[in-house]
Amino acid sequence: MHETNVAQDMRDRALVRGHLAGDSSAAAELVGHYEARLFNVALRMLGNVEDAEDVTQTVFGNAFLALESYDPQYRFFSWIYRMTVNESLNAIDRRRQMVTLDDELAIPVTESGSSGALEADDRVGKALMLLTPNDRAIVVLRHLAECSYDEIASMLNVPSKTVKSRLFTARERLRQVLLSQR
Amino acid sequence: MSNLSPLTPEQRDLIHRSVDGAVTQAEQAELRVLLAQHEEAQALHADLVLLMEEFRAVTKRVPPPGLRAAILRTISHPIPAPREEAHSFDVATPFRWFVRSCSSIIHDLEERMAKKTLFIGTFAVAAMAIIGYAVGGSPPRGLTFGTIGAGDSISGVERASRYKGRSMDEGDVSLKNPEVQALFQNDKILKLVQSDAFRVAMQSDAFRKLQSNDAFRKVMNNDDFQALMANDAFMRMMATDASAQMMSDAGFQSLMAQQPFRTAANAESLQAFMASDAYRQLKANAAFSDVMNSDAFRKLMANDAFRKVLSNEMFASVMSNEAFRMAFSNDAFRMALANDAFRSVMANDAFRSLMASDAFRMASRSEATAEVFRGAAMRMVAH
Repeated sequence: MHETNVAQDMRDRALVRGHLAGDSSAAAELVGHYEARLFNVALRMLGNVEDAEDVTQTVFGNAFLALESYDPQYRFFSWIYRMTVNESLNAIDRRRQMVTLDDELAIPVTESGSSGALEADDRVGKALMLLTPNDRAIVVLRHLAECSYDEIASMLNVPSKTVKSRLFTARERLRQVLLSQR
Repeated sequence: MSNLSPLTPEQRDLIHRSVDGAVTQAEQAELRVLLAQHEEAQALHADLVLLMEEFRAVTKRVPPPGLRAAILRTISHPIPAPREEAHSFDVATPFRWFVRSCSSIIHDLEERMAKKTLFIGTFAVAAMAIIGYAVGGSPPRGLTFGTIGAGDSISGVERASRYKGRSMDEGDVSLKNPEVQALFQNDKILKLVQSDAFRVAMQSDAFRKLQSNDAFRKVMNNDDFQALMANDAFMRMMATDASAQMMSDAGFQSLMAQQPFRTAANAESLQAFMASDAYRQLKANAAFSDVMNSDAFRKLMANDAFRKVLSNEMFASVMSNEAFRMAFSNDAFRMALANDAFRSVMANDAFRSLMASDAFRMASRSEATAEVFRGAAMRMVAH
């Protein structure tokens, strides 16, 4: 597993260097490696396909604009996952600040945003939406993106101990939610 | 002998780490003893094992088709959307909500065709407004990216300021740009701009209101919309006689002004629309039928860019907007839409090239560059 991560990091660094050096295929390859993964993280954070699509596109746009400032001593994987989590949290914040455009149209606003019903149609997806966004981020990174405690700690810039504590608390909450549905 | 005392935090931690596979051999032995003696530990462990199975059963979603292409476009043309502003606006989402709330009754082709047809008219207005911007005004635009940092959501997470994009200035777009040059050197576009119908429409209150309408301006700056405007299938369809006839048709105009369509608020309103005289008249209209049956229309319906715009919330909000309805109900505006010059511009290669150009996208998003663009346009029109 560790070797796989090392290989992944080496590949990512090579692609970043290639892109910055003008290799036109490097960007497409990086996007190919991360598109589905980032989309799924955003989807589980937001519970909504359209919002997840927006976040994924924004993250790549921002990442490539900031690529020159990317420090290769850090993992590209961690860097872009962190952006995805943060952009998802931003999207959640924006939903909370939504105002009605037209008084004639009283659109119901749900936790999943203006589009209405949750789109994560599985039990876990729905239960995740009951967690706080920060706890949801940790659960998503651990169980759906399969990141280790240390990787999550690095992405979120918090101690590994904090990751564990919040993960365990969130899981017990999920346990209660899922138990009540059985 | 079962232990009835509550689990300690350390014991809970041990159980959690065990399901994550993060325990040493000594801790595994400790866990076995705990599970053998403690009912609550057994229950927690069993529940967490089930929870892990549920997580493992979660399927990874395949990203929507077109996302990768959209990402690659964003990367190759990094013109940032005004994210904060867009989302402060991204509110009523009438269209998406409308489609979902009405989905149970949108089963037959007749309804779908009617709904899509509405957009054709909308695009015509928008296309006209794009030209209008070039000679009459432009929406103010800031060009900094939205934030990446999550505020205080997670302590220690980096803030967004380091990722901010630079602002565009006049240096980014100039009249030397070939697409802009082509626009102003094109006799069809000049003919349109100089036509009485176009001038009257541009000077109308209805058009001015539409231009100053936030929702409309946001659609004009929307990448999906601009991609559609650059789409050959759409432009070809817009250029057909049948489209022009339909858009200038009184029945179609009446349809556009129908309250049920305008509010598009619920299934009942859609049903009311379907039963309306305006819709019946439209169905009987030959131009409407021609468009519906045309190859160009069918190609457009299958087009990704078109479908993407259909699902765009900002675009939908324009559709339900009073200013848009007023513009479309305006005689001068309708005359301009029916104008041959307008139709020829819609089919014009230079115009299509301009729509797809970075220069135009920049011009339409920056007040400073639009000023340069507008001034030159006015001088050329005056000659």
